[in-house]
Amino acid sequence: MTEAVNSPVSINLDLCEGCRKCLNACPTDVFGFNEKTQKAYLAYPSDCSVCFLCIGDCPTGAIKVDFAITSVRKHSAYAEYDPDQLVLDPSTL
Amino acid sequence: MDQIDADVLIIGGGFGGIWAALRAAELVDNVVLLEKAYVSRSGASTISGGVTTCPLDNDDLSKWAAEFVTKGGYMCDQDWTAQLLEGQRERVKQLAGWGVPISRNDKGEIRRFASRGMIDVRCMQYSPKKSMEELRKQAIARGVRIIDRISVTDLLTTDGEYPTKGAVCGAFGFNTRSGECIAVKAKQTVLATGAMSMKGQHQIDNVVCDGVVMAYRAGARLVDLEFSFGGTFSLLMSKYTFGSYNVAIAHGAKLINAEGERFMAKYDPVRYERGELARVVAAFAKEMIDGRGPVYVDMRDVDQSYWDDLKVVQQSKGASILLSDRIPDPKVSPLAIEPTWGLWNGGRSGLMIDLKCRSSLPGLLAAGVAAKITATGTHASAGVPTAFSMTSGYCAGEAAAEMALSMQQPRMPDDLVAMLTERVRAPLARPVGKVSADRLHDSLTMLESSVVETMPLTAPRLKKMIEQTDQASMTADRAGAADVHDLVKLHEARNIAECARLVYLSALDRTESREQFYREDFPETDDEEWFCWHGLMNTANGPSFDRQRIPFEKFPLQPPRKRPRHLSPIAAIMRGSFDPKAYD
Repeated sequence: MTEAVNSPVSINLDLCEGCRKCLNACPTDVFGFNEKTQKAYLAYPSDCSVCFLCIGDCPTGAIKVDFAITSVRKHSAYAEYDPDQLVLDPSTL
Repeated sequence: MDQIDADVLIIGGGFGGIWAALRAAELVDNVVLLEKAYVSRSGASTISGGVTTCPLDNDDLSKWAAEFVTKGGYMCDQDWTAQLLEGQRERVKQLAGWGVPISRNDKGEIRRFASRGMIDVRCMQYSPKKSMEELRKQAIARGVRIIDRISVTDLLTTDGEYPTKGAVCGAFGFNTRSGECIAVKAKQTVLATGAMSMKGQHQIDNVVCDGVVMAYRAGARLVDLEFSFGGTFSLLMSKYTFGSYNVAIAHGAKLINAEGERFMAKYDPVRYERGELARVVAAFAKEMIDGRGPVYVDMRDVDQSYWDDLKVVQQSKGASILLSDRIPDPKVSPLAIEPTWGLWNGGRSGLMIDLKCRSSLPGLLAAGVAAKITATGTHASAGVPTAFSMTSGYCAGEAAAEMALSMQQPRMPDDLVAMLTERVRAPLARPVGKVSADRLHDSLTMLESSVVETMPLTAPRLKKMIEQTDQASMTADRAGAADVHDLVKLHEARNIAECARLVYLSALDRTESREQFYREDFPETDDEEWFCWHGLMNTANGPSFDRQRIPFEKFPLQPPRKRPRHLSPIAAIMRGSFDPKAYD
């Protein structure tokens, strides 16, 4: 078993203006605030549950959240399937 | 340590909690609301697809009630069915009056449609995030004291006992960032902590089982915990969040198998993918087992209003995979989709409440899906959990405030808060050791598997799962927390382990299958034994079950006649013998 350490979230510090909105936006407290640099940082990135609430609230687009969920906590019935099979060619219908 | 007094304390700031706060604040002065994250950026109310039941002034609600009751197998408190529908009519007006964005037609009227489960009933699409922002604003304007970032760990009781022989008199918790403890003593407490779930399943990782488990420990009666297994079609191409299945199928999305067959035609020739959710999930599992997978969501015929609304949702929420360039165009290619199926009660189980939302414990009420929705029985109508959360919140806030008006502030043992402080913070003093809180959450989610394996339950499997929850509980009790953030997750893991154990024990106790509850070793529905609400209470001797007869004779709609034992719908789907006429 692997710990859920992969993180889908990142911050571009060049764009962060330190407004702290992400600190309220995140339900699982992924973000912290660095008083020295006056910018947000990823305090607990592995707790990102890909809800996208921070994306809507970040005024400068500094935060990116990848769409793919890599958590071991998701169980897919298609784990053994070839990725090509996950898209159906409409011309076959 | 912060100690405050309140007339009404509300735990949880989603629809249930915030509507309770709004109503209570109209009647009493001192209303406090504790929220684990931040009200308007937390919980299922914010993250949901934004579908809610939408009765308007000219609708004949007796027809809607009949749909809920008959499709719910008559397992309903029909007085609650009526209260839910009448109440929701008012809640919709209120939301519209505040200017919450609601999808409208060319004439500016609320655009209503039939989503999952619906025949006559209609729902609407609104912005969940904007509605929660508005509700937060309204609550603050009415003087509600919202305290965000509080993880509540325990209810306070007047005798300091768990289970209590006295009453609930508030709650205890700690700030999720500073770790500072807080005790709120209250005349009445409304529990509105949302669904029972595990982390990693539904993009609402701070909604777990905290509230229901703390109410159980205090002695509140829970019901129908075995119906806590649930989920929906939410995983696209095995790694992306699909968004709202309920909205998509209401606008023409279909499920097809690898042969291009719309397989739900075999099971529900009226509602197809909008049929009872568990049957659609079972039909999915059957397709997979019989080698006709993957199952694809075919969105080629979805109407334009869906894509228009999706853009609005994307702007408000942040993103939608369907509008991204990460996947093939869903308007062109059918994409593999699958349901999650696991601990997700969504109102099918929880605290038993009466029409005033009172639990079995004095001083404790419940609202939202921490409570059992008795209004709809086994029926899964897409807009009901949000509708029930709003109206039960309103009713709970009103009843709590009215009771608080004629009460003195209750007393509790002097040493209770000190005892709770020591116990709740104890993991911070222990070394983290080999099993971290994250690892515990990983192992708890491993109790479940993909839907194909998770759906059929048997006694040996349930016993094994119970043993595993016991082990997880023991580990959680010994584990250390690296910091306050970890402490939150550790308490959550402890609660999930205890909650899962209660769910599996309840599933083991129920020796039949019924609608979405499927025991492979007891595949028949047995009305003689199980036409009841299945109660569970914490006693000095451990968990104790009861069966409360459903008093259908006092309600407007009567079950047609006593049915002999028969295969449950899921059992019939799995055996390939499902006849839609027999399960209409």
